[in-house]
Amino acid sequence: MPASADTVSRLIRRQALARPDHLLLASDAERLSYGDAERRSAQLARGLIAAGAGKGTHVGLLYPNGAAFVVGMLAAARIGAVVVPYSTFATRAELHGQLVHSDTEILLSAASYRNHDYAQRLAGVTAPSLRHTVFDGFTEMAGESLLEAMEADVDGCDPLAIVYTSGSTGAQKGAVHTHEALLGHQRNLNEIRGLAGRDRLFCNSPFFWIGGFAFGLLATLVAGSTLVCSNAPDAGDTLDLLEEVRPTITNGFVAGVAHLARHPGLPDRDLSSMRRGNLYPIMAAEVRPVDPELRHNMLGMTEAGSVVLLSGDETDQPERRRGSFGKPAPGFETKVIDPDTGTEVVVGDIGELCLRGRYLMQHYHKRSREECFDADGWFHTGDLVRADSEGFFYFIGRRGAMIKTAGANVSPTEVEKAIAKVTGGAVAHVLGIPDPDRGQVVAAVVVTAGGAGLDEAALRERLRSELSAYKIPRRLVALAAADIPVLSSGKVDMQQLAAVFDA
Amino acid sequence: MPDTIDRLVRSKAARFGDKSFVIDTTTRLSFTELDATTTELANAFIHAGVGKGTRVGLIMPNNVRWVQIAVALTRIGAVLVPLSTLLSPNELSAQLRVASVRCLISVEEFRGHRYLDDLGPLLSDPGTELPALRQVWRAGQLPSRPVGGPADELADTVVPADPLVVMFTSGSSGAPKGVIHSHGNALAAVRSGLSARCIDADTRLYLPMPFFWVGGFGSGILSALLAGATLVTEEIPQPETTLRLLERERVTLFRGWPDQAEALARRSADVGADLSALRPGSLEALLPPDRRSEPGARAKLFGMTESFGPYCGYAADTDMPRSAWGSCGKPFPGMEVRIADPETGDPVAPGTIGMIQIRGPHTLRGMCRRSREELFTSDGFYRTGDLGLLDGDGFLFYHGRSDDMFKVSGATVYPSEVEAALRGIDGITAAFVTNVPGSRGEQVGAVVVCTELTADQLRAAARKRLSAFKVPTVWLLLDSDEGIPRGTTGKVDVRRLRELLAKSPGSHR
Repeated sequence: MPASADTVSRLIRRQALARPDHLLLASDAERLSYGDAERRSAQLARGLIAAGAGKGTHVGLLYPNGAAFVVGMLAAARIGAVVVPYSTFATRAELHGQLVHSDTEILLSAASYRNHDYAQRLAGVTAPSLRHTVFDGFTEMAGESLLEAMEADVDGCDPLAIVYTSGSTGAQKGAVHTHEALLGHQRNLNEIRGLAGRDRLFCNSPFFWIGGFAFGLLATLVAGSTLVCSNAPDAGDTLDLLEEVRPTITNGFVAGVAHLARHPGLPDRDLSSMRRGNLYPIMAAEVRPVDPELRHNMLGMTEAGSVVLLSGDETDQPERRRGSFGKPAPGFETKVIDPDTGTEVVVGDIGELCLRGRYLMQHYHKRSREECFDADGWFHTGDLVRADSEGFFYFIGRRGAMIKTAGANVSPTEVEKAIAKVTGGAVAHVLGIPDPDRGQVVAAVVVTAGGAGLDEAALRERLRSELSAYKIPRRLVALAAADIPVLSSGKVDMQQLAAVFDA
Repeated sequence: MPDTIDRLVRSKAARFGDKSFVIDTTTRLSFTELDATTTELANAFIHAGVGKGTRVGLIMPNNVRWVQIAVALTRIGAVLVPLSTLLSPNELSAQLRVASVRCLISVEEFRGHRYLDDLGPLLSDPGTELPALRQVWRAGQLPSRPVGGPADELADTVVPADPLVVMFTSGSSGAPKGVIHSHGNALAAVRSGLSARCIDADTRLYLPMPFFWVGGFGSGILSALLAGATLVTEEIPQPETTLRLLERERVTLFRGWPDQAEALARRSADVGADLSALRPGSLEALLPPDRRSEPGARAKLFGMTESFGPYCGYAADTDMPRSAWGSCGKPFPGMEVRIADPETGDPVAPGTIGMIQIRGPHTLRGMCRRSREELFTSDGFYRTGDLGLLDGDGFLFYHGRSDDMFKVSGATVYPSEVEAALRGIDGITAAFVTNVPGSRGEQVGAVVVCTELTADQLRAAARKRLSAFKVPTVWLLLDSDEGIPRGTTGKVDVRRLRELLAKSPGSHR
């Protein structure tokens, strides 16, 4: 079957035939089988058609991880509409901004979630293209034969989604991805990570960003496996779910399971089913790494349809591969360039990672390809990496985040890791602070219990064994975790953070 | 620089006001009227369900109404799908399907075609055949709305990267190609060729090319809009009425078909039309002899639907350097042209014939139902399917379609190269070359218009100009051009040419 036959519609129909009663999703108390997902999404799709949606219509989704998101995504994708996921964290102004920018015509939304009242937040919000905001489904429905004909009319090269980056600075970026690229890429990644129909994947990445959308949800659909997620405010409830559903593999943000790892009842829980993946703190004890830096990490980005650097080898690596992010996924060409000259650096040197290939986004919504790619079709990721002679890649930091101090470049990530190492795990945020003599100096905010003070001299002394002198922070401040300024995306607000050094 | 249709219309209306923008035989529309009437029409379309990205098909002959509908739709970010008035019902439904047309606007009848009646059952139950089609409007019954609406707000959200149009190529072979252009790439492509085509704000441009192809939409409507020029057109050109129109509207630039220009020139004395407003850059036959150039001295503007019109040319009122005669001029600024080996795809040296590849911000954004990987090389070049060479000075010489090239005993023959050599022989007024299958593989066949020479003399003359394997072995001599088989657009029908050659008594087998 040619790659262009790859569409979400064909996929869900095939899986619903092959495994109708198999669970697609277990989210807290919700259970959604493949058969249910096919039936419910067909109903919703017929409602969307009756409301005027069709091929190319931009349909927004504002739901937390759960069955409503899955059914909404499937319904829109089946009729060739373009799925535009919205962050559940978004403020009224951010929602309005994305509604305008994305040309959303129909917004499907939860009425509320946790302390967010979306019905109230969206009341009175208008955008030039927005025709309907829908909280409780449609009453009118198009016929089944029209749905079938519309599904057959969708091609693999049609856009499936516009996924916005969580990036906080600058203009909004919505990456346009096709059905065949997102599904084809996840098929390759499933092969590497060993995700198969019998697996149950616990994923704490939100569906509205690329990690949850593609590496969680689409990967599950492609594999025919079960996706496990939880929005429970009480960690105990999430642990109950994990014991009941027994995931085999994990993926997501370690910080997002910290509350589970801290839960006093954890030692009594049977989490032995989770043997693969990257949420180490809650995985079976015998499969946790001695040192996470000796396991291959992975690098993903919205523009690459999720993960682009990874390895299927989940064993502890030799010391020389400390900090490895594995190798490029199939279908990606890579090169590492000097960002100033554009020429490729020699193997082992640091440079900007550039990507090319069929699984990259088509372009950012509202930007031409020329604005997104260089003349030869390379996407400049803004990520600084180095590759070793065996072809493994090492992530150094974001290009813009590099600290330039007295002519030397310092990677904040490297300093953060060193601080964590010498303190036995303290979280630090490292940044450059303007300095009249050196351009910038290295500064670090270290998270301590209750913001308790630091022994600065002792910390610097211990860092000497890890870092060259110019990389050791000249400015140090201790803050309580609760005092670290964060953006609605959950990322640290580095601009606000810099202000603590103003005093 | 305004680079969406909406911004362009606003800025031109502010600048040119009551000056005529487009004129047909019955109606004239000023820039101000264009702005006002299309805003009103756009509001009616929005009310009827049209929005950003909505694909709207349009079947109509060239007239002011076509322009208003096209501008109203594209101002608010709907995607125009111009459809040829020449299409048969089957071809029409195939294009509606390929382009996922959601709303269709059609004239009742034109030149014997009753488009909507002929589509008949497909329109009453579009479900399975045309699942995207939701609405059909007869041109006389477009949606209307009393006053006001959100057109301005919606227009403000349109950016240059948004899609503008799906244009079908006129090519007849294979599945229809629906080429997608954005506001930004289409306008930039047209802008890059304006000066070579001698179009500025003083131009009164006559152009009969159908608006549904890029030669009419880009080289006509958008050229006039960008330049602030006046466009004069008509539904059905006929020598007498055309001459009267040229005279009445004091047309300065005639960009019709060459044979049309010749027909007009033959009739102009009888009709007594005053064409003194015509300026250089117009087709030569209509200019007084002292304003004409020598054959080959002026560039043949060269382009395609995928480049949104000409991407290569030279000032139309200026002779090229002698070495470049017969060329298509140079690529316009912003267009990157590369010649690649048709088999390996590797770039070739200057002076070598190969496949023309194009890249840059003026080129197509994509094609309906085709992935990027099918259309573009990994470094972003579009494979045009045209053959050509770039000389050392950067002039592009066209050498036909790559589908036309063929191999004789393992060596590649480019029909256009052989045709050019034959036309250089005294006594030959036209020559057409193609492959003729024979018992021992392909042979080079030539149909020539020539009254003085015998086949043996031709062969001898050709040997002096061509490598032996390129010299035609099958000849057909005709007394006049009328025996050359042509399609509806005037292009030579190569398939029928091949049949003629195969039956030719002069063929050597």
